Amino acid sequence: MDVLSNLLLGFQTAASFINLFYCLIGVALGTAIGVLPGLGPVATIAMLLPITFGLDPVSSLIMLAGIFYGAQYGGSTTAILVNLPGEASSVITALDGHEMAKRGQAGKALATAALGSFFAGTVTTFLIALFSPPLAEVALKFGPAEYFSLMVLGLVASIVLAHGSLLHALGMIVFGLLLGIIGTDVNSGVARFSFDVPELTDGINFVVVAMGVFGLGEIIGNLENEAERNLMVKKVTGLMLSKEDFKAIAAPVLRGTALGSVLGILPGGGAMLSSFAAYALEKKVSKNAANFGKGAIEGVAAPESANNAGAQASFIPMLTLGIPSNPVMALMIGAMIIQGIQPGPSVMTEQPALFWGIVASMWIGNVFLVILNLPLIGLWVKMVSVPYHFLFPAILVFCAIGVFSLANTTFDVYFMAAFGLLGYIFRKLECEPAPMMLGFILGPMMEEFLRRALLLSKGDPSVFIRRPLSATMLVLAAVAMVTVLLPALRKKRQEAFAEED
Amino acid sequence: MCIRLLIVICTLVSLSSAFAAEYPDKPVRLVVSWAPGGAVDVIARKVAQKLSEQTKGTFVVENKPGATGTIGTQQVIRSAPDGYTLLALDNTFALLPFVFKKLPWEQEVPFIPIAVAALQPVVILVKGDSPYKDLASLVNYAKANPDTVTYGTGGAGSAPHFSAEAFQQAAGVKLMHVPYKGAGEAMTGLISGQIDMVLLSTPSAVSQLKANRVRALATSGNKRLASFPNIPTFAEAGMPGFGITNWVGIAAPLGTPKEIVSRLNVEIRKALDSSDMKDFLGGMSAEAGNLEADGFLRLIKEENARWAQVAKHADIEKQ
Repeated sequence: MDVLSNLLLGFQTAASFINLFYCLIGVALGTAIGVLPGLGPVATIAMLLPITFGLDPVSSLIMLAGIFYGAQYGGSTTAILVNLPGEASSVITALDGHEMAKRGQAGKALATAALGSFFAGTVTTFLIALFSPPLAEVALKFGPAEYFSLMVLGLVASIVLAHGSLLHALGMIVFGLLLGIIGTDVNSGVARFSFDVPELTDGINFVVVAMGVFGLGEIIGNLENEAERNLMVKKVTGLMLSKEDFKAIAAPVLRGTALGSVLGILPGGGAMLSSFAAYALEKKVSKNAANFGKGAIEGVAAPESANNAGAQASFIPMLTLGIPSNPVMALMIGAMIIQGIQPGPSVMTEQPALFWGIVASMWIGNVFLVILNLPLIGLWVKMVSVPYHFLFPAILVFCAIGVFSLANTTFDVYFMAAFGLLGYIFRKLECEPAPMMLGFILGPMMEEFLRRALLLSKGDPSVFIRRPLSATMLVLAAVAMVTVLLPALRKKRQEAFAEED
Repeated sequence: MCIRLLIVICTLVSLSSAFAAEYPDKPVRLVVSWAPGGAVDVIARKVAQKLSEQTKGTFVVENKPGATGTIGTQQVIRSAPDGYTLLALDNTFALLPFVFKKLPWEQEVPFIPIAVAALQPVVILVKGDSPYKDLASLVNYAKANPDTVTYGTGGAGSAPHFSAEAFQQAAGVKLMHVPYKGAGEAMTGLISGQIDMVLLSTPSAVSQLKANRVRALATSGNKRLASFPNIPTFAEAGMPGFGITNWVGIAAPLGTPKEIVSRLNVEIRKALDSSDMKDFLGGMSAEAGNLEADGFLRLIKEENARWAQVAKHADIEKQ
């Protein structure tokens, strides 16, 4: 078997002492920066690039890859413990994860995230090993029309994210869309709503908004009633998952992994959608739907497996086609070029040890991550019980450092503070920020793909229904829309939204 | 009197040479005004690595992306002119006056150009299975069917957009512009068949060319690429008037001591002459830019004049 001998070569490469060592360093660093709010893989990999110059290309790429998927692991930790999503994907984890933490189940939530991610990581590694080239070809079938329809589906699904008032949710989505308009218009090159502030011409960074609205908003809210918060974190129960828990998360993890792998392959933002999509799907199909948003373990398992699957699947277009699907992959391509390797279709045939070594190292890295993270859970949970007046200044400092590292500018730090205030107001008005984040992420992409699709079809809108993939997704979106609206019309919204009383 | 003057001159000369010899005695920031991972960033990092080795100093790359590179550029030109803050920039700089209504600097060249690190020829690419086998067939088709052939760029007002405008003017054709977010996405658009062609510099093209996913119809420059000798030059393909070559260079704030500028020029050119640098640049079909600092300044001014002409006849809206 060709694949077997290739995988064997991969494991031989990845399991050499030196490569194991760099893999461990990569995932440990990744976990650390994932846990530190705001400090993301892009800044870390950029800082570490000079160190990799002297290394063997395989070792350095194994380490850099480890940082990326390690950060996905670590990112969920702060999202769950202190409601601080450092990555787009952990926004969703925070929804139920932090609710679980509030009820003293932080350990369970963290264990679910770690095990779900491990399962997804394992599946995706073998997916890459077995089907990389054909999958990459499928990804190329996705044109602007398909992307647009996918985003429409995503946006409709985002309404399901809300568990409060439908009107509030819609309002927040629109607000997110409006925020996304800020920045340079791709088609005409004109700066929109930037008010001559150069920092605004590239749009607002996602992390700035997320850290502000979620993290800072949460901190201000907690400071308002610190006594209540201290009471809440005292009752920490069971760190490990029970038999029932395993039963509850099995199906969500499977569905999340499947969805994440599919969306992760798409170059251009597909991976970002995966955790949103997995959560929305789970909320539709789960028997426990009523508890979503109030600390449902399924609501942690599905998006966490989806985002890890998505992160790893995003290596597929990079490794097989040399196409970056996100800024981290663009950086990995840069790292390869510095090492004198031209990433692209030829890597697999010309440098099989490199290609298969990276693939195998991903699985080894996932094992390391579980070994590293499970014992740490106890430590993390204790961290939450640190008195808040010691904890929150530390969180603030890390937020500021992290946000600064995005583009090395203080502008973003001030901007995060402004969004923190906004986040607090949202809490007071009982407006949930998650739908806003999705609108903010999807809005600019939707516009871009819509306009490009119409440009290429010379203004003919039928392109969206003439292409079968695109038509299918639009139909799905319509069906989802109807299922959301029908119970609302029948005044029985509880079926679709767990109404808070 | 004469002797005293001589002494003063001698002291000055020895002082300045001592100054240049001690440089750098603290870390030097090389600001890249683009996101990490792109061609400018990758080349700047390689140059920083070589400079660190050669001078026994530390050269650190710092990314300051945003606003088509103006944020990073602005920051460097406002920094202390002591040689410890440098700028890595590319050909995009020369077209900024035609992209923005207002720039945060007044001079045509608001810094001291030090050296050109890399010259990257521009290639015209079509999909590997495209019906256009040579430049003439593409140009003839485009002439007969205006606004039909689509080309992708990294966005309105980006370097590939200007290159394509220059191409259209030189060939006397009208193509349809499809902007993408970044040249990388435009390349994805090309290999997935969304668009007909792109005009990109070699580093973005090499891996796809090797895999035969794209075909190059012509390359800029006076001679063919060493790594792809089958690709004709634009002159050979029947368009002698088209000669855009992209570049990546290093600059310092105005007022930086001459000794440091010339020392850096010498060091960078020494780095470019090393075998690993040659391999590195050769790997992306780029060339070392063996220019004196004056030559770099002339290059920027020539480019500025060229793009002014192109912009006059193109419909590129200023921001």
